[in-house]
Amino acid sequence: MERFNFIFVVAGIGFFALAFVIMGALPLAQYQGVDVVSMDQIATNIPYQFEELARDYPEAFEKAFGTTEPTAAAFEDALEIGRKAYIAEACWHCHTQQIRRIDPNDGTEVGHDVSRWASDTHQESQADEYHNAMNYPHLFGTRRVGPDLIRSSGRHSNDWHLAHLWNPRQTSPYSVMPPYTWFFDDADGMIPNKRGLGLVTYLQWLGCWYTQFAPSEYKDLPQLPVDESWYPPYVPPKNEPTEEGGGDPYGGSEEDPY
Amino acid sequence: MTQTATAPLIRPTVVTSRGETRVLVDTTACKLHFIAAVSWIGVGIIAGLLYSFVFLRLYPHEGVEVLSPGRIRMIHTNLMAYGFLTNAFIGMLHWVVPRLTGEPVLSHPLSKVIFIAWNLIIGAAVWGILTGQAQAIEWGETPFWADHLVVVGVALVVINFTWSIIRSREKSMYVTLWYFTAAFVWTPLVYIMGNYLPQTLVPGTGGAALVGLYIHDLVGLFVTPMGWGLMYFFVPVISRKPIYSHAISLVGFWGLAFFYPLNGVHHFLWSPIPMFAQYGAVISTIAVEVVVTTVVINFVMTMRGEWYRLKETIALRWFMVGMTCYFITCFQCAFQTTLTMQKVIHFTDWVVGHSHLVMFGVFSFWIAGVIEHLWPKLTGRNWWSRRLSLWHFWLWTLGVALMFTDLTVIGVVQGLLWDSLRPWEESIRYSEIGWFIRMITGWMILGGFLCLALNMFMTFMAREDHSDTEYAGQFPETSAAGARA
Repeated sequence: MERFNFIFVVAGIGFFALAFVIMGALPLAQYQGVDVVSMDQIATNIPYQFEELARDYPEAFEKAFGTTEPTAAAFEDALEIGRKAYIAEACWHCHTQQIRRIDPNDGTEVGHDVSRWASDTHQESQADEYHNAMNYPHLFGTRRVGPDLIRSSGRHSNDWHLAHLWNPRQTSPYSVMPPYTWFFDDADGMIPNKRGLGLVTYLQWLGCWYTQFAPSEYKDLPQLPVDESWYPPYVPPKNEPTEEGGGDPYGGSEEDPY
Repeated sequence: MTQTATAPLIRPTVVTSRGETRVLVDTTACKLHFIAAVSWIGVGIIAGLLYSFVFLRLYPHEGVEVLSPGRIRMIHTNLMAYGFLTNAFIGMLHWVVPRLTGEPVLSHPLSKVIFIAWNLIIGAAVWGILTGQAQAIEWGETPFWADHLVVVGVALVVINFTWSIIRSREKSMYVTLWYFTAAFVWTPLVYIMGNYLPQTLVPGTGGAALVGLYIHDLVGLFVTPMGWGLMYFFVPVISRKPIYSHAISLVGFWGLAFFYPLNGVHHFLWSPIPMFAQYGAVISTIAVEVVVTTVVINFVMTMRGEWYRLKETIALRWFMVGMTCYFITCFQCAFQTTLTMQKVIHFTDWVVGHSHLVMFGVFSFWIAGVIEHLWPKLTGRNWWSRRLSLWHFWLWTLGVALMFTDLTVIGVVQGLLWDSLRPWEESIRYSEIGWFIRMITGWMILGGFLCLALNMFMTFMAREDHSDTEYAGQFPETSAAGARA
């Protein structure tokens, strides 16, 4: 038991292989025969938010994907770019993509993942949600500084996402998320670039499989005229820090922010 | 010259199994790896400290793409694992393995090539991560193209050292070498499994099971055997007592070898991974705690009657504090891995505290002990300042103790707040004080690092042996050689 060969073969190779079979291969065997959903299959159900992006940011969209139409090819491109950005910025270190199977109904008082993150479907994360070409490797996440994202589709609008990426504290005053200004082409955060559009597409795709999107004529709807005067001038909230350094971003307001 | 006088003891020559006369220990490679390790940990600590500012909304360079906090976090973890720990372990192996086998490593020029190649790989990986080419595998965020290089590098390291173990003419293999042998098999297997399969072949949940194995195996099958191996070597050497029980060593080693690889899935409890794997992982994690207890008992009994040495010998302090942290970590692990506790503490800062205690409080401390013990021997000079060594020790010890306590507490707070279904922002606001304290502990750890780096540098630059005689008893080899009367 203290010889090189014995340790090499039994401890080194043997026990590793044993663990690989029990903890890796056996769970894998559960998905035997289940085909991995390909990008083309994913692109048969395009969330309407993607069409909305094409309509709202036509120049940026064309520059990014070479077309003004929200086609399946553009959608696949956007998803892949979005996922790459999600990984490059390590979003998955602060946002999980996993609704754990814990719920007060399981007999204990603790645990509200399902209630919090799947209040509509009451469905914890299922293995088939990850069994697709967008999960090489999976992005379960490891820490939950910010909200879980596996069902983020439709939770916020495209514009909310872009404003949030430009400066998270515009939309979530207490957020600790850093701003991602390099997802935009201009200095004001009005024109998203390919990565910005891709990331929003990716976020709007996560969880969209619970909805069936008809191949819509959304893009053919008459576009409403935009009148700049509709928008009131931007007034910073009372508790936002000003350039003079005044203000208390973390409180001081008597009102309950919630 | 001091160094010539001590040379036969520090750099003895042997007749190898091929009949050549060679220097047994490549002290240059040893020294280079320690220098690289300490440089990388400096960068890694600064990266970690920078990242802690994000949580206070004080990030110094918002809007700079390459220094984006997410990327800095990956730099922090990857430099600790591959820059600091791996470099330091290779340096330590250069000292330990030939001494235990009586046979030099395969080739000393190859050792230098490995040193250069490995650190170039780390540099390339840092560049890759900063330019947004990271891979989404925890503890393996090195870009996918860098993984191929890492595998080659690891293979070279394994060949270089395994040669020495295979060709050994010693009658028996010391426990340290059992651990190293196993680690030499496990590390390449683990790395290939974790970085290639989920990236290319196995998507989603099945891949998650493998990534879980990878995350845990990297700690359990690479870092842990290296760490216990060095403990089994240095603690008896420094305390001048044989290890307490050979039988307990056997239990500890085989228990670790059997149970540790089975742990991985405990990183994804309550996930869609099949429950039999999750139950198995929980049970074997608790079993590891039992095994670890036996190893700790072995060391505590070895130290019986020798505890007074902690006062004088700072290296032993590092080992013993690290061992205590190890016991705390594993004890904590046996509870936190249960499915009940996971409901509350999973995804919280509790886990961050846990990983800092084990990667920093244990293995980095043991390496600090090795450096504390070996640096004077490698440079032929006494430590420049004992006071700096003490500052280093206390800043790191108190820093990690405070960080661990702090993160554990706010981890529970976060978990309970999430569970209460109160608005998400509340968990952020209640964590702010904890994140502030974490930043303070980061400064303490950076301060400790600066003490270490300055002390190492000044020791290295010292002209001749130091007039300080406080160390006289500490280097018996050198006094025996009459070099340092």
